[in-house]
Amino acid sequence: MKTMSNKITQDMLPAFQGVIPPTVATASANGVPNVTYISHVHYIDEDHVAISRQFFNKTWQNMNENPFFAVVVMCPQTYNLWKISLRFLEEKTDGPVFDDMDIIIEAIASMQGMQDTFKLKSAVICKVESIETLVVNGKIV
Amino acid sequence: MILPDIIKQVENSPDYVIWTANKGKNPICDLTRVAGFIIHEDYEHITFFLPRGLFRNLESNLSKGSNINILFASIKDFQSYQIKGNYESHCDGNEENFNFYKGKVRNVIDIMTSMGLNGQLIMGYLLEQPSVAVTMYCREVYVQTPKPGTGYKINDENHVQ
Repeated sequence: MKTMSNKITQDMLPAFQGVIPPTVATASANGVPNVTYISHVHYIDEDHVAISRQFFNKTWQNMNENPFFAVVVMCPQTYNLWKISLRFLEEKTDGPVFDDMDIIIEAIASMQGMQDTFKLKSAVICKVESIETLVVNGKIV
Repeated sequence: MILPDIIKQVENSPDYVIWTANKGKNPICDLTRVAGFIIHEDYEHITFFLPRGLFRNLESNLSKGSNINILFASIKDFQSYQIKGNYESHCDGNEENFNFYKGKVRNVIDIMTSMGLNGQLIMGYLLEQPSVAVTMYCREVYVQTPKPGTGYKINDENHVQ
């Protein structure tokens, strides 16, 4: 039985530390999916996260055509996996969320030796619509 | 399209993790992990394998010709490729399928373990049985490696567009 909720819970917070790259799947207005890795999903509060926008073009185009999309995040401690359904709200190119993410992206880039190419363009603010647990303690839920 | 050589190399490489996404009537895509894949002799179709427990996420979206994508990403150097295509069919996975991808999943687990991660906990569930084999027609291939300018299409002659 899959567990569903619509709030980010305490046990999920390590998944938003930027340790394991999340995977995001968007869809165009005519229903063609696009799936790719992103650098970071940033926790804002239990109802909101921000996606790091660096390189993605098709993902960004899709978010503007169809604001509903999914991201899968993994806890770097338990390796539990969650699929979060999101709704794109707005893009931020400055302010506290952008500044916090910029620091994290710089840290991720430094760890991967990609300081010159990993530049944050914007923080994509999203509402959490629902959360589905996919894997717990190494077992499919 | 005829799949480019790079995807044939991915098929034989031990260090790729795989994802699939599809979409039905719901505006949000479904997205889940995949255990392994095989390229058909016509180089236009692939069949990928995943545990039934993960397949359930995709199943309600599937209809003949519906859009389905697959993403391959190297855990060593982040090289990533996405195939966009159309769903053709699915069936129960068999022992031959399982024996084919079991070794590949174990290789990825071993690589992760050598990197200081708990590879078994990260990937071991991909070996849960029963499994499902999903066949798709490959329409387009894109480079998804995280770097500026990524997302470009590879054409049939292996030239980028």
